[in-house]
Amino acid sequence: MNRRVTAGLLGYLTLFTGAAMLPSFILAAMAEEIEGAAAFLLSIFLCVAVTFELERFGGLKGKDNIGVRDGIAVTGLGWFLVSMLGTIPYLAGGYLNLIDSFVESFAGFSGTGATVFEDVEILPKSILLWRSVSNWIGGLGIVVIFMALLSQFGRGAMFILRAESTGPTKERQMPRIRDNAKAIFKIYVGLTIICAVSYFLCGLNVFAAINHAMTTIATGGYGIYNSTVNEYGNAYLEYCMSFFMIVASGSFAMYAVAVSQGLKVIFQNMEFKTYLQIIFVATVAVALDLFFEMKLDLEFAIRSAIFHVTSLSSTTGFVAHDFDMYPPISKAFLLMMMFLGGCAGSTAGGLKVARIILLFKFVSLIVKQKIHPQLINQIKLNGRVVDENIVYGAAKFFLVVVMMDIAFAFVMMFDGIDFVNSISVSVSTMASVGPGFGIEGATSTYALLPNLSKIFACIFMFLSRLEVFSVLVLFTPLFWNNPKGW
Amino acid sequence: MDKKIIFYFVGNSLSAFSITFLLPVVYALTAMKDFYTTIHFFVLGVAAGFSGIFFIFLGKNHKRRLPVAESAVAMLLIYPALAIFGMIPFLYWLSPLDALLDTVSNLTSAGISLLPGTAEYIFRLWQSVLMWFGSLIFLILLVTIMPEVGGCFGINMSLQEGQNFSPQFGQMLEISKKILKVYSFLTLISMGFFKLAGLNSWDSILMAMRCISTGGGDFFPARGSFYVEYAAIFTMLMACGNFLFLYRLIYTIPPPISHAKENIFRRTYYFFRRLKQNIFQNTKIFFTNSEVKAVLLTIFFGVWIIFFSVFYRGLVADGNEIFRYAFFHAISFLSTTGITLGDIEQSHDFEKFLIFMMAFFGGCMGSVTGGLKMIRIIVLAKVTGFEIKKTMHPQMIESIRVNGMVVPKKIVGRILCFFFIYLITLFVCSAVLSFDNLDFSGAVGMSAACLTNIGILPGICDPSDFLSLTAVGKIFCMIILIIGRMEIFAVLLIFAGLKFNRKNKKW
Repeated sequence: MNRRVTAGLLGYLTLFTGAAMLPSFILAAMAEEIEGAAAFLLSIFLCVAVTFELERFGGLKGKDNIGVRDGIAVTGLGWFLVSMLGTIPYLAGGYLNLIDSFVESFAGFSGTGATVFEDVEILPKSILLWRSVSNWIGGLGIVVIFMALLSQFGRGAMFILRAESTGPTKERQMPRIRDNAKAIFKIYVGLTIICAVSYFLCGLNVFAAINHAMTTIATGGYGIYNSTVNEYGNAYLEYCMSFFMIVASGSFAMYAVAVSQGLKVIFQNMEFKTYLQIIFVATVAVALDLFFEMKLDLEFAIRSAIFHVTSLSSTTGFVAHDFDMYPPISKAFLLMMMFLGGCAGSTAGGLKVARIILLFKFVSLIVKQKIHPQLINQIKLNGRVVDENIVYGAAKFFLVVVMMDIAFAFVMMFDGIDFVNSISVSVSTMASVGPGFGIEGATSTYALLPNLSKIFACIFMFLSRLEVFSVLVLFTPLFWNNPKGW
Repeated sequence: MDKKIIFYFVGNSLSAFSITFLLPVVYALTAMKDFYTTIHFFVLGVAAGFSGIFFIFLGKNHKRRLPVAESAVAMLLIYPALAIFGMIPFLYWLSPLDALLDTVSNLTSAGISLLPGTAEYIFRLWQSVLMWFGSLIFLILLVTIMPEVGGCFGINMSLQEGQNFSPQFGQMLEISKKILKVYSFLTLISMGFFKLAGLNSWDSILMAMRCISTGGGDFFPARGSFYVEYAAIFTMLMACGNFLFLYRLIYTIPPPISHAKENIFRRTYYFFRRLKQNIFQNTKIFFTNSEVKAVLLTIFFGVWIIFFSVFYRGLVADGNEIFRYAFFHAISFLSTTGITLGDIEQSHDFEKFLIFMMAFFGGCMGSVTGGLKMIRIIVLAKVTGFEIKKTMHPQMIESIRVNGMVVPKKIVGRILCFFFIYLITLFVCSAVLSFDNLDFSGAVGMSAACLTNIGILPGICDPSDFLSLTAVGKIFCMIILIIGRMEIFAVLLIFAGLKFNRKNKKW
């Protein structure tokens, strides 16, 4: 691994993090939030200091190449470093203790949106904005945004992007990595603006509209009110949020192509169509269950079903009302939606619909081959043949996610949390949803978790955002000590 | 589809099943001295036997070959056919549906006992017979039909330790005889252990059948007896082993008797020398087998994690007591037997979840345990390790080895796929059971208990939970029990076959 190059790139990332804190600092200064302003100033100063130290040690030169290891190190260590720096505003401002600051920052950048604040309405606006900004940056990816805005990556930037991007395939729509990143970033910003305007038109004030738009498109789910969305008293807002959560669950690369080739690209995309079909089936099932079991008004049942199904499938985690009170069938469907996640290349977490499609097709292929041993058949996705390594990769990812869920559940049970709550928090955290059932239910926060569980929650949020393997490899001695340097 | 071969298989199973009625007949005659009960079981046995003969007659002139379609249907029909006769004795205590559920659970070695505590001993004995026979049928299916029906999910890989197999009839019969020999032999050994532990003859037979079949159940005579518990532990450990592998090890121990023209003392000397060599060699082969090592390692870590967890919480002060508790439950649940010592209800969720996971692991492939099976766990663990290395070296070529043999990439992919199917089945079954007004943990626990054929998961799923299900829920549980025993794939084949048949395509 080229430590000089890695340090240099990490330096740029930390500088970028400092720059991302500027809006919050300016807001704090304008709103005369002394503590907030001081906290952000200190945070920016520390980011700059870390940047200088890293640049002193490293730095990019003209013909530097970035290899696989460098890509993994920059992405993995970069995310970790940025999340650590993100804790400083909470800590320096005295809003949270050390462990809670970690949780809030990691939850923000990983897009989990699992807050430890029990009362967010007493927080200054600068902190609320920083939470939303951390969600927004983490949603698309720190590296993607950085790559789109700056040109300081050397050759081999593909390895960095690959380590961060989600989904079974790491395709790109444009020949140049930077053009690809730029196109996706433009879509991301555009959707955020459209979403903010829509929320404003639905009745939210400007600040609330911007914050909620950022966390909706990033599928993070940080809110600025304690109450659930239903308590805003605005059915149009719920429908609007549901729409944008579905949009955020679609592949941003697909949207980039749709800009040039038309909307038909979206409706021809098999993964997105499947995702919509799943949402439809789940919504109908939950709506009927709520209507018949809980005797809710039909429109309210449908609206609640749409909202929560889209919120949990997109792994945003917004809550319209306490779905912990829902009947078991609805909860089973909602849990399934959490686990499933959105489309590959979206900001949503979870397993990703593309992987599920590939795995079901693989099962179908095995059954057909058993019945017709001479059969030659291939697995296709969006009309293109998928290599068997990608299919096996999807199966391996499924295996590892389940293993991580079980491992985290074990840790929490050891820490004193009961079986049901452990499983719920574990699935919710690994899928980057945030709210679950029980102790960390729809109207609860991560504040109720013991400290050991909180620390492990941070680790697992980090693992789930970078799709596990890119982080696990950092813990192997082979990564750091290989003398062959590739 | 050749229906005759299916009838032939079902008929043979029923005929063999009819012989098992002899045991309760003997008990009723000698121990109970109850003529009515004797006649009851005798008549049932005769009826089962005649039904078997009738099906064999229907299946005469079959093609002496068992391809995929017929294998899948035969596998799924055998258990219901046996259950129809097996449930009749329970009708004295239970409703027809409960009796059927109890029977199916015993045949699939889940051991969900719905009988009330006041039920007579003969019905407990009958439960044990059902468990024993059900596991025998499973073993025979495993080495004859299941490799044909399975989707290369690792069955072949492990069973090659002991035997090659094919859908040819003659070879199936030979393999079935070997399985019967080793299964009966191990049952007799475990009966001996229980007898030495202090149980009477009938209790020894009952417990040996329950433990070697990994059926378990709630009946455990002499609870609290150190020797009986360790006899059960040893039997359950044997049940975790690959039976074909054990057959090979056991039956290759005695060297052939030499008829050379040497004096008898020299021949005896050489015999015992060869015997000693064979014992050492086979012991070495046994303990160097990857699956055996994995089972022993899992038990080791399971025991010590439970031990330290209980010790740390300060629930029990006596170290011996904790070790006994941890050791017994680790093996009981890894072997998917499910016998508890009663005090596990008080344990923490951490310990319960650990043994829940051990039930998922299961024993060796070729054993009668449920769960995923250890060889798949080994492959999955190695695959994970390789994938981490492959993240750094994307062009790396995977080479996973088990027992020194390279696992083909196709098999690795299929095992990954099986893991996916298993969990999706668990999830779907949980979702369906939640329609029966079970809460989340109850639905998942019940599905897991049925799919892994363990029957109970302390604190999560007990026999009383099954009694409170609706009729549809009970029928669904029976289906899950059979699906879990048959490793799911046969059901997928049936659905796919029906779909193909509707499109008039022959298979």
